[in-house]
Amino acid sequence: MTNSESTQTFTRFRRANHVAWRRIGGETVVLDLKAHRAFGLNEPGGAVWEAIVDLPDGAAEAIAPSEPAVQAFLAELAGLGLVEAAPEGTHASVSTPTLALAGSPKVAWSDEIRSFGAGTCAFVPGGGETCRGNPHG
Amino acid sequence: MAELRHDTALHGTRLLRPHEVARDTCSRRFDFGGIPAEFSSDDVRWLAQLGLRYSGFETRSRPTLRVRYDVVPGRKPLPDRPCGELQPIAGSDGTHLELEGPGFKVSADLATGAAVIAGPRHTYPVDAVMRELLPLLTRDSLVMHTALVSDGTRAWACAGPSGAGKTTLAALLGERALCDELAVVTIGRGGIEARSLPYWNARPGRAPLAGIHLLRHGPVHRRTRLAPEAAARRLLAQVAWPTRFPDALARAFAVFGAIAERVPVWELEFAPRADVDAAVFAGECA
Repeated sequence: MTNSESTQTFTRFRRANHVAWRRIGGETVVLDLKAHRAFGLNEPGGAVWEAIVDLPDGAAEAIAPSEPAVQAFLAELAGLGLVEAAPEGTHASVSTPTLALAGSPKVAWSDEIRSFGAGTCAFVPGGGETCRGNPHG
Repeated sequence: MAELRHDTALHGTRLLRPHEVARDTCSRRFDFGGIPAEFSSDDVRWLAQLGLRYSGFETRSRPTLRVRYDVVPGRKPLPDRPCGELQPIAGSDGTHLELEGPGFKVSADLATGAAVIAGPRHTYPVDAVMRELLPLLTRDSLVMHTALVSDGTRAWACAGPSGAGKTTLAALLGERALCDELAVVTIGRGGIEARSLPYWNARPGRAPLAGIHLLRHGPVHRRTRLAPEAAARRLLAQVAWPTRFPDALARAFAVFGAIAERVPVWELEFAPRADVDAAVFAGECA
């Protein structure tokens, strides 16, 4: 990643506060802590995501890349609620990163996460009798 | 006093909070994946049922969770298959939960480690509530929807949705099976360890986690190693996520990421034959 002068003509984005993320293998998995949904970003998508640097004070530095594919990707993430457009003047950065990507950044998949795991049941039928068996086989 | 408490708990305008209910002298303690939980009740018959339900998981450790159970008579019959997640009946303030399931209500204060359940003389509300609370109470741990098997030295989590073969596999492995439904995976100083939980056919056990199998039935035994990113996506659906509180969810996700990166994951297609043990307990390079 290199920096060039910002033209101030592109939307700036920062990560939403309600996300956690982690690079796992070749993907970056982003978890929406409010919507309870996980998103898998492909490797270029992960590179864009990681270009958004968290500042020490907890505020996230915005990026405003000029590449159309990256702008479109960030707009998609904004639509999903994972990033948000940063208000002008909320950060000190005046540079625009130019990302050297190996392909188009994409959201490769998304899945809901659940408190009980998929397809599980919490209850033991038995009409008042103690049951030690798995009711679901 | 007991009847008044019952009536108030279920028919009043709100469920009693844990600190408002007097402690009872009759209690039992059980270990849930390293979390000692004490259950008390006026109803000795219910406590006896609970003792049978969690037989083998008794503990003398000082409880980190205390659960008061008020047996409420005359409740309507349970639905045939009362499945699903518990529903909130009041807003959460970050440490307090008020939830209801079919025929019961629970009020839990995670800050003090106290809970009150009002429900029928049955153990299923405890099953349901503990499944809800365990992911919130464990730190550096994940509660996974998995069978847990061990060769005596190491453990393998055998995960999958209902019908994938957890119970079938556990039955085939006999004494080498620790549980067939839920287990706790913990990251500690000594590495990653798995512990059985008392769901459904279970006995206490713990061992370093050697790997995770994602199960499916098939005509032959076939094991396929998954790349970390593919494994992570499949494993997401096999975790009991603490979705009630964002902070707990973020902690669990950090643990999840570490496990997905450090623990080898295979897809294990297996036929219901006794020789499946060779595939289950095979080394990383097999």
